[in-house]
Amino acid sequence: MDILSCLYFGCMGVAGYYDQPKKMNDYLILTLIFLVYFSPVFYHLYLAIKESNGGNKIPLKKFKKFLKYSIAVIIPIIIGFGILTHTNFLNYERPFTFDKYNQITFENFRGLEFFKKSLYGNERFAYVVTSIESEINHNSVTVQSLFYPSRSFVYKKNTNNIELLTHEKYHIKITELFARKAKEQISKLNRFEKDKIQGIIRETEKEEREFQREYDYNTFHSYVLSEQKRYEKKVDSLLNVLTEYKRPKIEFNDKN
Amino acid sequence: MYLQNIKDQKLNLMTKIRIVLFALLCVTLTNCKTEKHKFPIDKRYWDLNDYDKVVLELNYGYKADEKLPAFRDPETRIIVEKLTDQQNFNIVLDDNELGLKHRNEVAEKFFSEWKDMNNIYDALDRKDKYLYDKEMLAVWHFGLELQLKYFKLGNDQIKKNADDPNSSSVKNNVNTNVSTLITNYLIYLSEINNEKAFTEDGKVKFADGIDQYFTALIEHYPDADYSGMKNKAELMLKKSESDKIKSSLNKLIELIASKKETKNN
Repeated sequence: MDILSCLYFGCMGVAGYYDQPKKMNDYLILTLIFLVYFSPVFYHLYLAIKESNGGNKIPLKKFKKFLKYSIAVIIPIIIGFGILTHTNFLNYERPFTFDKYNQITFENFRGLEFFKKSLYGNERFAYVVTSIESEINHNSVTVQSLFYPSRSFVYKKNTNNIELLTHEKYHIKITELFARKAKEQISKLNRFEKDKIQGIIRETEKEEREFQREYDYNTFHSYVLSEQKRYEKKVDSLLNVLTEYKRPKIEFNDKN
Repeated sequence: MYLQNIKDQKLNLMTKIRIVLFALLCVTLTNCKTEKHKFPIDKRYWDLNDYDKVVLELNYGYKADEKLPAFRDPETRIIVEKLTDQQNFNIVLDDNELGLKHRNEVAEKFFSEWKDMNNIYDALDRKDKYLYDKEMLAVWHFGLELQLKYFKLGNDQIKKNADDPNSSSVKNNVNTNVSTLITNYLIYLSEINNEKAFTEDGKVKFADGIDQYFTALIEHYPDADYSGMKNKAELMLKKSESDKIKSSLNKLIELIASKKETKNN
């Protein structure tokens, strides 16, 4: 391209009529499924009400029976659905500790997503689930960050969207950063105090969530690349500063 | 006879059930509100996909007499603000982490969107007054700022791709692009011919556009040929009845003259 676009009205294109497709509301679909599923129950309810005036109790019994079986079938389905939405046990992979960070790819994002179809209108989205896990023993504390493959989701596993993967993986790094921050604070305690340790962990978890939100907001989920790069530098540099708190376990023996 | 009665009763019952189910379905369907016009107002930055949908919706999704989103309407004000928010393209075009080619492609697509945006708020009433002058000017200002970035990126790419960025053919292409940009800016000045179609607030906003964007253009390309712009500004100065617009045109003429003087010295 040498010469840029000419006068703006000289290049005017012709746009066709735009008919916005009306997406069926999720609630509508759920209501329809509910209505169809419970239609035999409604039918028997109607019969029971009608026949009860004449003293006929059989339809009422039938209604109760239908209601019982319908609920007995739907509840396990709902529970199963809920469990799979939370953690995909059909394709389960144990949580990763941070030492396996370099092995993580989108192949490890095994979670299922039934409800969310897009993020701000973009169907190519992913999310990652991480946590700071802690275990307080008699004279030691273990704090480590975990990445949950079966709870993390990507729209397509074989995607080559490196920017998206980098963005998601920095969420994991941020969790590790705050796990190290918690260990730094715990290490500075003069003696083993369970309440104080629990307080530090709680406070760090709160700060971590806040930082994760800020990271997503400022990078607008990796859309703003300069911000993404700024966060990458910042997180990497802070992780380097806290390298001595890489080990999950903190012993208090020598301090007592 | 008894059997027939039972059959009739069952038939009656089935009909009633069908009516009840149909009524339930109707109630469900009518309760599902679908907003007439949808805009991603919660989204921090609108990208090209958003502009595609929003511009088409604003151009073709409204009936002839239907009220368009406007600054004066608190409910729809946010839509115009988002639509004309220059951050939507600046966040990409100013991002040096992104490649020049990519930014240039995005700029070109935004430019194409802007061309379609110009039709949204150009309606006139029976007195030949703009119905949405402030909104139309906000769209104009969006385009003036966008073009400044777009043409700069395009020229940067030409220089980057050239074997010899100082060759006469490259310089010629760059200068032609700057001339096109200046000519595009002149179209804004032509709106002074329709000065009477603007409200007083609209005229002030129009003058602000000259002060801000034309100054930025001249500061950006001080060595370009602005004789056509100066000539146009002088003609418009004679035609305009608005003090604010006249003042902005005078400032523009003075700025061009001062740049020419500096160039000659």
